[in-house]
Amino acid sequence: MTALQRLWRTRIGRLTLVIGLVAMAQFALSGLLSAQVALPDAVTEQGEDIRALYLVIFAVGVIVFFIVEAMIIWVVFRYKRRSDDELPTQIGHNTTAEILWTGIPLVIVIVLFFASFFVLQDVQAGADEDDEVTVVDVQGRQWAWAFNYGTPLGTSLAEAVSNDPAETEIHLEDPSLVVPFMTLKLGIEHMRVVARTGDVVIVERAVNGTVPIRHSAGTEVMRSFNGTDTVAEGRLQAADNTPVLTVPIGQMIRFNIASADVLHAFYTPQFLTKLDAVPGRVQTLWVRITDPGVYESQCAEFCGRDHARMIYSVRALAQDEYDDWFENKAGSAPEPVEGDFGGEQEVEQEEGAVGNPVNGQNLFFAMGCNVCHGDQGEGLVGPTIAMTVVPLYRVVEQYREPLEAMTAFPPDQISDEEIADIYAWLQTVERPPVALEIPSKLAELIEAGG
Amino acid sequence: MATLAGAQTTPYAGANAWRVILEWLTTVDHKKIGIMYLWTAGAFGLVGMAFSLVMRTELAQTGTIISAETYNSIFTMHGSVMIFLFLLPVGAAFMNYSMPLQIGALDMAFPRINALSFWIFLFGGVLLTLSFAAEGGTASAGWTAYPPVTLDTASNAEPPGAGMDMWLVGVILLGQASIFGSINFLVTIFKMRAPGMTMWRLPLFTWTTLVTGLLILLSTPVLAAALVLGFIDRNGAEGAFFDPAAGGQPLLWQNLFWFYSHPAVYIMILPAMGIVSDVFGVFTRRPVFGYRSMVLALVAIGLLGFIVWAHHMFTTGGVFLPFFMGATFLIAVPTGVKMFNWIATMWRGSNIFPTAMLFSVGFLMLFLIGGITGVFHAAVPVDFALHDTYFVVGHFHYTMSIAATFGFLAGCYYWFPKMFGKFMNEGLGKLHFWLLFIGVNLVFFTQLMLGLDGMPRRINDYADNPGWELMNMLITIGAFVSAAGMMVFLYNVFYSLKWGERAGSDPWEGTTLEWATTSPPPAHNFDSLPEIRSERPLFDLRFGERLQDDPHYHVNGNGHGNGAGGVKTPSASAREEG
Repeated sequence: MTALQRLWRTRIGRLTLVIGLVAMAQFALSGLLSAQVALPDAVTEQGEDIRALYLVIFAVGVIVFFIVEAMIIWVVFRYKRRSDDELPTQIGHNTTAEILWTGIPLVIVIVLFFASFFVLQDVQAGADEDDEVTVVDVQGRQWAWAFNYGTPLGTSLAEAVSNDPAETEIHLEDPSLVVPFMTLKLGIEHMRVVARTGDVVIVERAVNGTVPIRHSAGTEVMRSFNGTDTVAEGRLQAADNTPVLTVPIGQMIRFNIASADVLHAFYTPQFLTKLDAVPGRVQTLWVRITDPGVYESQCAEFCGRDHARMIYSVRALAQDEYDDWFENKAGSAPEPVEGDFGGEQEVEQEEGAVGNPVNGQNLFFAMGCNVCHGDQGEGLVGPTIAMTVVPLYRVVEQYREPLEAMTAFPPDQISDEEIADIYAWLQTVERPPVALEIPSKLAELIEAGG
Repeated sequence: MATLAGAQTTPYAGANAWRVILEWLTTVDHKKIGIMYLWTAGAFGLVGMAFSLVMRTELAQTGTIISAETYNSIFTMHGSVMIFLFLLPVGAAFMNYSMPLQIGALDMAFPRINALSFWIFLFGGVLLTLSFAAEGGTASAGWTAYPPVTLDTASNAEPPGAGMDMWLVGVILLGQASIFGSINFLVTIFKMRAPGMTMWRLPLFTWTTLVTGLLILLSTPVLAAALVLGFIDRNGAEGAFFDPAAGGQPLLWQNLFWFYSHPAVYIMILPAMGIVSDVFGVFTRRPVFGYRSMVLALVAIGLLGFIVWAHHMFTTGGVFLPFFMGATFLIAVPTGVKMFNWIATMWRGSNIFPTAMLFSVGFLMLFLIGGITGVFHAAVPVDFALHDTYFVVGHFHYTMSIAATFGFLAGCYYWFPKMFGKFMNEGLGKLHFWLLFIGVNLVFFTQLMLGLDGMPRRINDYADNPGWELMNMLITIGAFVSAAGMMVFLYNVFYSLKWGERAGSDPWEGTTLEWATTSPPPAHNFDSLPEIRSERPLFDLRFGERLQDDPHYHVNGNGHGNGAGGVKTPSASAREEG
């Protein structure tokens, strides 16, 4: 009689076998599904460290699982009441055994703690001094992603700037390089240029979900541009297009992760890591991607109705391909604008010249401006344009050859006079009192602007 | 054994229906309140299970059947109902019913407050459920309700409606009920014990009640504070506490919320651990191994439970990681001690396996998987990969949901004869066990694998990645198998209430005092009590004489009688002297 047959003859033995079969079926199933019982291979250096740590814990876990499960099955199967008046041993404790099964797990978890601690230090170490670093400013919003990059503007701060968001006047070494609508990137903060009067550049602080921080004199000023590509089809129903994040392999990549509205999480499964986008904070995630490819990703922190559709792809390119992409995407520096722009005086001067605000209001909605700029021009994906201080001629230029992610409108779509009508209407609506950017209400419209 | 005998009492026999209803509505009897908690929580549990079936139907395949709003509302209410209206009150039900009996008390220390707790709980639960009728539906931001998505801020695209306020107020009420209940449990245990029932002679279920009571008392006010701040934020303060645009701090909510909700995990699992400890003690005829280390492990889990809350926030970027990682790893030690003690209790035992015992063994197996998968989350870098995926869903269901439910079901089968004077049907019980055991493993083990493959939680539709549809389908099948098991249980309850075999006062050869009175017990619980010289007075009564020459048998129990009021038998004294 085999052991199995003997096992099968008792009820408990049968139960044991069934449990065993269920467990084995689970493992077999997992094999069939090619869904690993281990984390999938990582495409980043940091992810490989995490995967190695996972495998250590997995090995310990599997050993502990089988030992303890075997003990449970053994005592269940082996020790059964044979007669009604049987009395088992009344041993109630055993100091040696108890010390052992307190001490051994303690040693195991201490070892695992240190293993995890060192891996943690490793994955959070960031770049060495001689590392080339690519910086991407990631912004989550309901329910899409924007990926902004910085390219040198060729100037720096002449005077320090405090972290007070009300301090909107900044001084640059060479203020002639800024133009209206340009987004400046100073460290982790983005600022949108509103006006320039003499040497003073007036900005809107902490746009794109970033936070106001202190900047010392001499800080390099970069020009920020939106490098979000899209692919036409979404992987999920109702996701019309998928934002694409483009990064190089081999370099250390620093993701500055921000949120414009609620909590999100930047999660690319193949990186084997994630970091929450917390409104009011800009957080840093470091990775060095080793394998080129396209990695499907999505938001991992519940963020409201369309959380499930807040997807993105990561496109990891070889360095030279990335450089080409970057150069193309960044474009050349915009043509300098002579003299002052913005400022109340100019608006007053032009007020007589502008058009019909009633027609402007109709056009504003007919042309779909409200989609990006909000029904009152208060700003959604696009900047706030209510009561704009930008001069009309610059607005017309913006329609024809837009800076930033706005669709171009040639004269056959909207005439200079019609633009003047919209401009007139925009002077009549009240600019909302919120200093910070008011973000998107409709994620799918994010792409409509560009 | 004269004290054990006694006629079946049916306290309201012959009373008309209105008087019975009035009696239950106005009762301050801890047993009736416990049974009302059990029925109410059971009903809410079925509602929560129905929600899970809706979710699993939606997720069985890619594509959507219900709208995203509906799905979000359903998963939020599944979590909220299961935690606040099922797991926590079922624990309260057993603590209410059994703890005063186990310590030989007449009732709880504050019977009226006990009734008040129940009615506040019921009101809060109804409020939470009624939010389906609110404009904009129920709360829909998960049971964790992380702001700012819960707030009506300028930047939130779809601010929730009145349902969110009803959720906040409902949970405040449930917390209030919990706080009242915990004070009641603590005072009862400290002040109402029968003569001879020293602290080291408390049955382990009573010990878990004590530690659970302390956890509730110390953590729930913090949750209440968070909920009140959340309510103010939504009604007047415009996000001043939790919305950064108004100067608030979203992570503050998470810290406050988890300062309660991590201990809450132990508030749910500890009573279940207490139940299986008692069940093992009875059906093995052995003392629960390492009684004192069991108690110390309990206390250690309770203490550590207060310094690990931020391990739910490892990916927020706002946590001092090494500390919370270390503290979280340490929890594996006392839980391991409990696991080995339970196994050692069965070792060389005279074990029988009625359904209560099967569920206790099932508890060990499920809790083992839950515990091991917990270690993965304790390791911060691995948690970076697994947080907010289905791995964490599988992990926490294995521990606080399914293991706890197995413990509570063991409690149902174990105490049903005491509550209603009848056995539950064993055949149906075993069918229930196997359907549920296979079903939940299919669900949650597959979820672990799905999480490793990177599927995030709380999504109503998923990408068509290799294997995902098949795994999701398996989970859905498992969910329906589990639900079938619970239907068998439901049928068993009603079947046994009507046709169940009559149980005497002590049908299981119990060891603790609740078995020293009739089934169901009279309103005043006990006519007389046996001598209490150990943590299992009825075992001493039944087998003490036969065992008096066994060198391992301490008539004063595992506490060795050094508690106040210990009484030594002549033979035991002689043994120690010699």
